[in-house]
Amino acid sequence: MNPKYAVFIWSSYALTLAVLVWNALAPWLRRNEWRRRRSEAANEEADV
Amino acid sequence: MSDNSTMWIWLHRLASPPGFYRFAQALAPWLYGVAVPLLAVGAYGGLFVAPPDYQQGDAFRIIYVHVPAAALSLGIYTLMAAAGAIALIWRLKLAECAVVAAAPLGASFTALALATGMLWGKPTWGAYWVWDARLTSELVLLFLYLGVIGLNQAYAEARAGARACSWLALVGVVNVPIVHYSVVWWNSLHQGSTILSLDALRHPHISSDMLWPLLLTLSGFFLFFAAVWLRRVQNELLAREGNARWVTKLHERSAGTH
Repeated sequence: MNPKYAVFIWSSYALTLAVLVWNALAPWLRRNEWRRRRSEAANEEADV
Repeated sequence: MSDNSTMWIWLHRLASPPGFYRFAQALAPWLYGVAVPLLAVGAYGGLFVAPPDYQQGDAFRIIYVHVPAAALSLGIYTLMAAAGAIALIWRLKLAECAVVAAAPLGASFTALALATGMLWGKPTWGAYWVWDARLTSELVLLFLYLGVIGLNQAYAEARAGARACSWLALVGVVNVPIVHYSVVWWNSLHQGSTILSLDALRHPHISSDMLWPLLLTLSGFFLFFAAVWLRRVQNELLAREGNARWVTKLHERSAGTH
């Protein structure tokens, strides 16, 4: 690969990887947060 | 029972939140499983196997991430407008979730298309940004996505927010053909369509040893989007249907397995 273009090419692919990873993780993190809040609410109800 | 009525029953079940949730739960892992190898092989082919372009040299390799991101940016907005129309006409909760769930994905792929376009523009045009019709209309598309995200967050009542987002998606869809045809309608610095036009399909503008990695990354991006979108719609359904029996049962089952 021509070194003149390497920084532009690798930056593009690195950015793409970052966007794909963030998109894959974001729904999973939100689901875990939902589960955690739901469990906390259930535990509070059980305590009452 | 006729095939037609069986299909309607299946569609009716699919449109119900628990039916769609189960469908997405089964389909999403398969979509991820196919998308990731396609993306990996396509990126490898684009970076190391495809020959350099006779004019742009190696800089053209950015096409393998730029074109799929740009195609998705238009495709996702069109999908949002279609789901928005269904949400407004039939008041289908699932369609409302589909609109809201697609917007962050669309915004991220539009931003990626703009960023990779800038990184391609600098070595090719000598500038990261020009106020060209294609670039400007794509930037407007990003603002539309951000508008939908902001509008959804501005409403306390989820269904009212989703309906407002549906209206914005419908009104903003006029920008999609403007982005796509901007390189035809106006004298543009941006090159014409490489594969996403009827003319390019009839007379390919790209040789086959450069084309196959592009087809792989394009398919990989669309399948990846479909997988993430299904997951996001599932999350929206869980958030909105929090008190429904099927959600409680689902939570009890998942809590039991952890």
